[in-house]
Parts: sequence; structure tokens; C-alpha cells
Amino acid sequence: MEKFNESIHFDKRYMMGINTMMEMVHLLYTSLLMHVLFPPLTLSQNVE
Amino acid sequence: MWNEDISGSIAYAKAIAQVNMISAEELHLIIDGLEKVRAEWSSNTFQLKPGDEDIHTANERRLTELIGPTGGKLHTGRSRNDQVATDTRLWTVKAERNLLKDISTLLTIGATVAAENVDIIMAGYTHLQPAQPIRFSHWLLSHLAPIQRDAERLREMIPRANRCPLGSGALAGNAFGIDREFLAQELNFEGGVTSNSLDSVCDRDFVVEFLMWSALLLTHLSQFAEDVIIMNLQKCIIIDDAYSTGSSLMPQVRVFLCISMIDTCIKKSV
Repeated sequence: MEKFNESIHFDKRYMMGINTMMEMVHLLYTSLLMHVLFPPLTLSQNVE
Repeated sequence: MWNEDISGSIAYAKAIAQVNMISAEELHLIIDGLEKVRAEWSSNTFQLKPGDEDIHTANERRLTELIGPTGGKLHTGRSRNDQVATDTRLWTVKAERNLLKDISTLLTIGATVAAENVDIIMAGYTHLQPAQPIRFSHWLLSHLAPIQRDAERLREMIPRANRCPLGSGALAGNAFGIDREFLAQELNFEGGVTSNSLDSVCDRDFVVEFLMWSALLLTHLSQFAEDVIIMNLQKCIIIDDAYSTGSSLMPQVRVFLCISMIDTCIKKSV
């Protein structure tokens, strides 16, 4: 088991890093899409 | 990478069947067995054993338990060097394609938000001071432009990773004359086969390239998140309280969780 865990050590870090990046991209575009980031009303108020 | 390992094994079983290293019956037995192994991984019921050195030996051990000695024939002429290189490329190409799709969505949504708010004027900052009036859309697109370059770079990278190394053996190729072009087709490696067996089992350039690319994308995303936080502090972009959480100890503090999470997670990943 120890050997197995050792063998997947790099894979785990590699895959986790890439998956976190994907989640961040999702979070960002979802925030934009759902207007969590830059709600329209707040932006208009800012202009006033 | 159990999924990629099993897909690679199924393709390899078909290739050795073509050169009569295994019979048609044995091929069916192996494919059925491998699909059962895949189902065990999918349902989280795969049991690792102390003798399993890595994902490849674990899958092969389980296959042999399920279908008997025929399972051992799968490894004819194949090396784990073959498998590591193939599995990593398959996983990487899939991840790169998914990311390209996600980034395209981000760019499209970002451009839509910019277009919808084209009349909004805000202060453009330099040295953390209000400098010149600019459009909000101009500011937003300034953060999408680097991400668009990232997408271009990613599109250029995929063909380099998308080549099949399977059939390279441990280092000196495959002695049984398997059809490597067939393997590439079976595994959807659109760039065909890698050209040199020694290089094929050593090459991890595509991983390094992907990680370098990732570091740049994450830096751009972090830059964006940080800019939103700074602009909000400067009251240049006001994010409504409805979209933030407070601090239990410091009621005057507002935390923009979504954007702070992006910024923090990105710094950790980089």
C-alpha cells in the first residue's frame, strides 16, 4: 500500500492542482453569469 | 488515472489480438474483465492490496483475479513505462480540452457582462490612485484579454500532448509488430503516434508545459480577483453587501467570499 501511495503521489498533486484550477474557472464564470460579481443595480448606483 | 489505464489496456488487448498474441475469446474475456474493474473503481468498491505497487499492477492483479491466468497475457510486450506515458497523456488531453471549453465559456460570459454595461463609467487607477475615467467594460475586458491569450496558448499545446506513446515498450519498442496507428485511433490520439520509443517513455514535456501554462492562467485569474478586491476597497466598483459575508468579531469588515476564495485558492495552487 505504501508503494502504491508513493506511486500516485505526483499524480495526485498534479490532478488536484489542475482540478482546483478548473473549479476556479467555473466559480468565476458562474459568479459573472449569476451576477454575484458586478450585480447590475450596484453598478448603476455607482454611476449615480 | 484508473479510467485512462483501463481504456489503454482495452486498446492494447485489441492490438495484441490483431497480431494473434491472444485469441478472440481471450480478447472478449479481457475486455469484460477490464470493464468490471472499471465498474469497481467507479462505484468505489475497488480493493487495493498490499502487493499493488501502482495503478497498473493493481488493475492487472484484479483482472487476473476476475478472469484467471488469461489476464496475465494482457501485459505481453507491454511495459509500465508504456502505461504511465499513455495514461498521463490521456488524462492531460482530457483536462486541457475541458479547460479550453470552460475558458471559452468564461470569455463569452465576461464579454456579455461587458457589453451589457458598456455605458458604465468608472475611475481608471494608476499607482492605486484614481487617474482617468474609463468604461467599466474596458476595465473588465482588460482582464479577459490575458485569458484569451491563455486560451490561444492552450489550443496550441493540445496537439503536442495528443500523441500516442503506447507500443514503445520499456524503451525499445514492441517486438510483436502491433499496429501503433490503430492504438492511436482507438484512444483518440488525434496527433497520431510518438516518433521515438526511448523519448516516448521519458517525455513529460507536456506535463511541464501544462503546469507552466496553468501557473500563468492562475496568475491572470488571481490578478483579476485581486483587482476586484482593490477596486471595491477604493469604492470604484461597489459589490453589494448581499453578496458578501461579515465577520463575527469585526462587524465593519465585509468579505467577498467568492472572489476571495478564487484569489486564495489560486495562490495555493500556484
